[in-house]
Amino acid sequence: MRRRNQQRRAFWLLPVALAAAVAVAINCGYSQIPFADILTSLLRPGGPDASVVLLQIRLPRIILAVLCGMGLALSGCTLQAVTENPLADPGILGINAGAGFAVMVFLTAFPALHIDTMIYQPLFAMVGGLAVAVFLFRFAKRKGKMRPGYMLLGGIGVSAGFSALLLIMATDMENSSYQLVARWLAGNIWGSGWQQVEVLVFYLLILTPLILSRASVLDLLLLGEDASCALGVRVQRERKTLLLVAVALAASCVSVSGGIGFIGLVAPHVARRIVGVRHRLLLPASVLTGALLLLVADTAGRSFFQPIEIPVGIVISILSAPWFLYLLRKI
Amino acid sequence: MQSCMTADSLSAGYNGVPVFFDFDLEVPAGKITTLIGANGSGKSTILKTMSRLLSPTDGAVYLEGESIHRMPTKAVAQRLALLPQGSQTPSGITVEDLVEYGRFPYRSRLSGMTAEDREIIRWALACTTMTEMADREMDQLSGGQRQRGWIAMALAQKTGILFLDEPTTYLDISHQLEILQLLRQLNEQQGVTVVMVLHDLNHAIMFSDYLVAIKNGRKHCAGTPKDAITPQMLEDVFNIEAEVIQHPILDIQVCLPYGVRKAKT
Repeated sequence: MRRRNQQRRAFWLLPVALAAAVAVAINCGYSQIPFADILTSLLRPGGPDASVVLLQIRLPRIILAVLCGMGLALSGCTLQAVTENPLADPGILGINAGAGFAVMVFLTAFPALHIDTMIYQPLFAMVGGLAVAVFLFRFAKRKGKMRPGYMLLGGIGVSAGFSALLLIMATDMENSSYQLVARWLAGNIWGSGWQQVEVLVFYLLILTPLILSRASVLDLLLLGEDASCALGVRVQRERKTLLLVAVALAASCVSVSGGIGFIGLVAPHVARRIVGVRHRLLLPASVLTGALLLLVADTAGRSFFQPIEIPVGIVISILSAPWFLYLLRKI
Repeated sequence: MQSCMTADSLSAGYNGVPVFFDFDLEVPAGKITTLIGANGSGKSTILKTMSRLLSPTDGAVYLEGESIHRMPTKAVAQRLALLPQGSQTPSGITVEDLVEYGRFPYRSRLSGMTAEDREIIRWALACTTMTEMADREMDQLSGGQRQRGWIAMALAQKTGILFLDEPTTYLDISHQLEILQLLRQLNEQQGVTVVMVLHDLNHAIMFSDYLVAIKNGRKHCAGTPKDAITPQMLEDVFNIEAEVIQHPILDIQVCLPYGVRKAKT
């Protein structure tokens, strides 16, 4: 009991840290904005003194980083429980790549449409992500049982395959499209505006409660199929629902940000160290940790090497690769 | 003898390959029933099918007259608890966490724990003498303590029937006896009906009221240990030559194997 209270207290560090990171991010950037201007811009966004840089460029980007980090971390945390594999992550499982590929097909097939149909882009991404998930489920099924290990192997293969396909598609493109693909593969939230924020908020609001309300089911799934079934969990059905929602979450994020990997892997592991393994606390903690990590990585990527910007996906990979190796060693 | 659960000409298997056939069983209420048999004879599969983890290919299982495979799975979990063989414990969960999971069948999706839940968790920990260990992580416990934690989880389900698949595997002899004595105690004090699979024949004799011997997916014989355990049965079911003798201390018969039966020419 004492332990649980400690974890509950530790949880509150996360929103505080996130608020601090947002404050720092608002102040970081090519053009310095005085604190007074920030206040007037935020309080009276329509006013004559409002800063355009802050309201139209920096703020949507910060919010998008926070939202993407939330969605990818929640997706990763769910996938880790559903596949009973601590190394699961929408990037590693190839879901991001499948979603990215579908979006690319959408963009090249309907180039005139995509400006008006931003809202449909995530739907295409979901189809791509789900196709990968369905394939993985089939691939991982051996003798009527799902083998989580095969799922990971299949995902790595799918991921490599789709990345290669994207590059092949890109070589045939005019220069501007090629840059779009390259940006996609790296994972970037540069140049995003309020429209992307609105789209992502819409999908996150629908999908997040579906997972948060299943926190106790996620706890039980980790006991294994037999034990969770004996406790009254409809294992097959819950697994499918959770997988579907996790894929949809990752796909909506990927459709606005490109394939940012590792957040879904690292954020839940960091959150576990802070609040323990029970999903009632772990899910919200992962969400906040993911938001924090992605925002910090994006802020670092755009501030440290000015005037060059490093795509956030690359910053995250550089930060996370050693962690991934450490996890592999431990498991 | 009153029965609380019935298997009626039950058959099941994996991927179309049948494992056991035409199995009938009346589980005696308030008693300890043990399934015995050689490896691969189908005892674990019978246990899984009778606890609705596996769907039967034929026949049915009735729990107080209702077919268990047609009942909502949460409703079954309120009446029957099962400890699968060699359960995996996710790293990081404490004993108390695990016992709390036992309350899942009674909770709706968003409800927190009620005072009654907490009371039952305390009771389950006390029954298994795990109260002191409640805050410890399952990973850090010995095999025997971990198994007691699992039993506490099953108790928190507050079911009248408890199934266990080889609850003593991987434990040393003193922990094996400790777990079996705990089960006997729960059976006598709480009136829990126990159905389990055991490998050790003498443990099965010592701790069971009713034995069911399985051979090649079929029920070979059933009865009280005294009736069921005979040199002939041991030869038929386990392919061993054994003597059945009186235990020097306890009032039971035990078996002493002395060789594998030679192949008939």
